[in-house]
Amino acid sequence: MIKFDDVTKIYPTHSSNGYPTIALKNISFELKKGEFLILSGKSGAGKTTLLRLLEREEEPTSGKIFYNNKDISKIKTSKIPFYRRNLGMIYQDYKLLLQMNVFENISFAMMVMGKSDSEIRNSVPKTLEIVDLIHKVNNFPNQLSSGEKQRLAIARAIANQPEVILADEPTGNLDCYFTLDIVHILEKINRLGTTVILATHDRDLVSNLKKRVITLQEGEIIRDDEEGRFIF
Amino acid sequence: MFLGLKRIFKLSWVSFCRNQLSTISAIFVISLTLFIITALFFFQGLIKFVTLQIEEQIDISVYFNEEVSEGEILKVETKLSQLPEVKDIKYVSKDVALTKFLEKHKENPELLEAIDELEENPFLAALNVRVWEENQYEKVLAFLEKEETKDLVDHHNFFENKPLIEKIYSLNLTARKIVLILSSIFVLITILVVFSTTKLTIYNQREEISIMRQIGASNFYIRGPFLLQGIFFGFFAFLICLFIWGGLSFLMGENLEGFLGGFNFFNYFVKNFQLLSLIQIGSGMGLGIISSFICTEKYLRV
Repeated sequence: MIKFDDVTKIYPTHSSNGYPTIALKNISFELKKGEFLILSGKSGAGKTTLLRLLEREEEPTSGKIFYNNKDISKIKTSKIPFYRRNLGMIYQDYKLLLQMNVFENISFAMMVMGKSDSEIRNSVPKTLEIVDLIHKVNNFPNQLSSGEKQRLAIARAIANQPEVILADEPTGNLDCYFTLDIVHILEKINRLGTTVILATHDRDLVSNLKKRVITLQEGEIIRDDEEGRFIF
Repeated sequence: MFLGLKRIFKLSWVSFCRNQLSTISAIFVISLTLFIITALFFFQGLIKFVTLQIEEQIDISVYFNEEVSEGEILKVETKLSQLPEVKDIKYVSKDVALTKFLEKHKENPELLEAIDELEENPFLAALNVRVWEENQYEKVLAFLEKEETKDLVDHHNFFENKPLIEKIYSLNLTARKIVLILSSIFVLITILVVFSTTKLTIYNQREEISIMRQIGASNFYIRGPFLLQGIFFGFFAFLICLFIWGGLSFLMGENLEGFLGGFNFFNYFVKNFQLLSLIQIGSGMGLGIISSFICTEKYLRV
């Protein structure tokens, strides 16, 4: 379903010493539909860059990325929003639309997909039930706790039933109670058939999940274990 | 498409109502722009009125020989009035000229006595000719120089009036140029202010734009609400400005009419209501849309 073929990403001038920064180096791996992949590694190892390349936020310096056998670098700029609708994205800083309430945050994601009003009215409460946020439907993001914000971000990501969920340090701002909560939701989504890529540097999370783990170090894959654990 | 537009409308209206601070500041700035544009509209109306009043006073008088009959003069009048350069032409007979003179100098007994002593009416019949533009007098004179009219004309006062005519037209031209330059400067400044305010508003929402992009929203869904908000800003600013200028012109109308030589602000406002509304609504909404379009462009690059 997803294939990274010898992907390298170099930022020409972003490093403090003036030399180009190699964010990813010769990354190659494949991911099957319905898999749960954990990208593990220290901060700066290249996890976020890898996800940004997959969502076409950036382009690789060399190498190719395939999504359902299609080279995503060949997607026209105007078509990128349509490609992204296959992906549900969850971020450490939630990236919620602050001017919209809980219902509107989810309905906006469905609107842009062209879903009908009745479909939106029916689906949003169901999605909110999955993440246990139905009682906050009229609240605005700044009226939610950190855990609730992240659950809302997940609800928005799954609202359109994407094929893949990309979660970039989704538990980074949460305490252990909320972390478990979020992880259970992600597992639930995965069991329903959605492919999940979870980038994290949370040692316990990686070790307890018993899922495939790709470990990155300084932009390179140093391990790819079917049922991995945290290395460092 | 209709569903998309309905949603864009709803999203922009919700944003318009919720972001009160930026809504108020954007409406305020556009209102200010429209206020200045309207003030310039009134100013150029005033200048036009004054120059028209002055121009009305400018004409040349063509005096005909004593023996030329009224019929012949009226024939010349008809021919002259057919010239495209001629704006207005008036026949002043000898009697009318005398009556006017007596009326004008009724308080000057010495002059009236002198006229009385003359056995005949000393005035010549004349045609008072006005043209559209200063340089068109030459064409009228060229016509009078033709064989058929040359012998009928005694004299004309063009060369006496020429310096005054040139001066008035030159003043008129300078005044219009000044209005145009001032208008351009003010409009440019206000456009820049509107642009900066919109830029700031959209800059504050750049994070939201980026999130919208990441969740797969097309430019239609991201830019649409901003453009529609621009229309809302322009429309409300138009209403505010129309209300303020309606009130101001009503108050200034009769009070300043005497001081401005007969120019009535309120009458001008009523007479030009449609054009003024069109200018205000066009510039208000236009400014809102164009500035929103340009400012969102930067954040829409995927």
